[in-house]
Amino acid sequence: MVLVLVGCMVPGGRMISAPTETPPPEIQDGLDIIRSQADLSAWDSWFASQDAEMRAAWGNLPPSEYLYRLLFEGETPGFDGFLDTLLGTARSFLPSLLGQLLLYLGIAVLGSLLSGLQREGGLYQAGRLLFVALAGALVLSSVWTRLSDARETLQGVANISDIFLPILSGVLFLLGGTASAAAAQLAFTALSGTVIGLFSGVVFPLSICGGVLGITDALSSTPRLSGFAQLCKTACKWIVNICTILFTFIAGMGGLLAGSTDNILLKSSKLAVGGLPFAGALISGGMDTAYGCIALFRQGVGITGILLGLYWLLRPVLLLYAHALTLRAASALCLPIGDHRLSAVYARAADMLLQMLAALVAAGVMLLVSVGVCMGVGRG
Amino acid sequence: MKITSLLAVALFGTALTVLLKQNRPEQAWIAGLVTALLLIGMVAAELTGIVSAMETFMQNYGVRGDMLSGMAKVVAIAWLAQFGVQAARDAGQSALAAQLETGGRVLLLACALPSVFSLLQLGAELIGRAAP
Repeated sequence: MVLVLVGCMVPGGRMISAPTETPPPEIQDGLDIIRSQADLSAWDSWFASQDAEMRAAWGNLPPSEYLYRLLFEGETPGFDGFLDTLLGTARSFLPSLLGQLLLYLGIAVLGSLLSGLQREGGLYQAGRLLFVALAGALVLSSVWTRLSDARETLQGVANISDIFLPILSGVLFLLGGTASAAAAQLAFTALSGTVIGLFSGVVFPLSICGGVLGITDALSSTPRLSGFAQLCKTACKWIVNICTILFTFIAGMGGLLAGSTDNILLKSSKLAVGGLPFAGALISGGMDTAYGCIALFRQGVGITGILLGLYWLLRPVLLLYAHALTLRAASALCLPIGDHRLSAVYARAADMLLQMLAALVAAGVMLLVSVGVCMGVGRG
Repeated sequence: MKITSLLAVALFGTALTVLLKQNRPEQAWIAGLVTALLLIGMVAAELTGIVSAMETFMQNYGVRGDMLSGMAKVVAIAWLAQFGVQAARDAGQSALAAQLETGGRVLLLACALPSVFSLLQLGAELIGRAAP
């Protein structure tokens, strides 16, 4: 592929029939050749299988078309419309969250009716305990959907990395970046296998366990399970942090080293070609343009991949965060009007969602880091 | 306004009870009981409205409605049982009051038990589903 590209980039190489005419080699020609060779159809079909909201947020442009606009027309629809998409997504679920906030506050108001009872009798204590238990059940059932969404999104990150890997490594092989392709393979396999497995198998159960223990503990006036709940929370935090740091470091180092190896290989081949008699300098000059095209195309694919991942993650992450925020707001607002145990129930449920959100965001960041580092985004 | 009628009933009942208490204490107790029942009846209608509005909310946002009706039942049972206990104590029937209090607690438990079990089941299911 590189040789084909170099052949076309050699001054005069395009105009064999008319050697007298030597138009300057254009970057767009090189990009066009690479684009015709690169297979992005799997990306397009993955995009077509996404729901209408995600495709609309992306502007209904298939990724290959987006890449074309990015490279050839200098447009960045993703960057331009990102804020609008963000606001539009937030607006779409704002009424539902406001309704839930009102519901949580309504429960607090209903519970405050119990405070009219006499404190001495056992009825007050029994009624209060059972009311908060029911409220806990209600909150758990309302966050159930979000928990299922979070699990599905985490699995979706693994699926996306399985889809992105052949596309990106195919592009890297095509562009002569064998070491980068190997680094991408390592990063994506580690993400979809080890990291996602650890998050869904350890972090999610721990955060749910901590949340359920915290809610159960909030029912009692004397905390007995809060230590376990706190332990689960701390364990989740540490696992997510360590995984993110280790993965980013290993993938980053691997990507940088692989990029350097590929660069050295390309430059040494250029040096070898430059030493050839007669046509050496000519081919070497063409290679410079070809390498520029390769770097540009790699970065274009990387940026498209990062933006695509970002748009895909946007909705579930925002929804999860907004729900956690609603529970936090309900916890704060119901404290003056309702039972403090009810406020604790809301706070524990919010903690549970926030821990899952942290794992989800970490997995998303790792996906974006893998794409960015392997495709050399931001590298000169 | 609802609060004016509530206030009127309460004031009238109190005045009647105070008047009757001097000569007919047994009738004063009945007058107090009837007034309290009237007040509860007037407030119960409002409470039903609040609960049905919240249930509509819950249906819109995909939350189980049986929990809310359970919570409203808990509040109502606790209130009514407390009222009965107070009435019995006012009449000097402390043994009856204690029995009623126990009965109220049993009813509270019976009302909330399915939902409490469903909370435990939900928690166990969540942990079970989250486990690999």
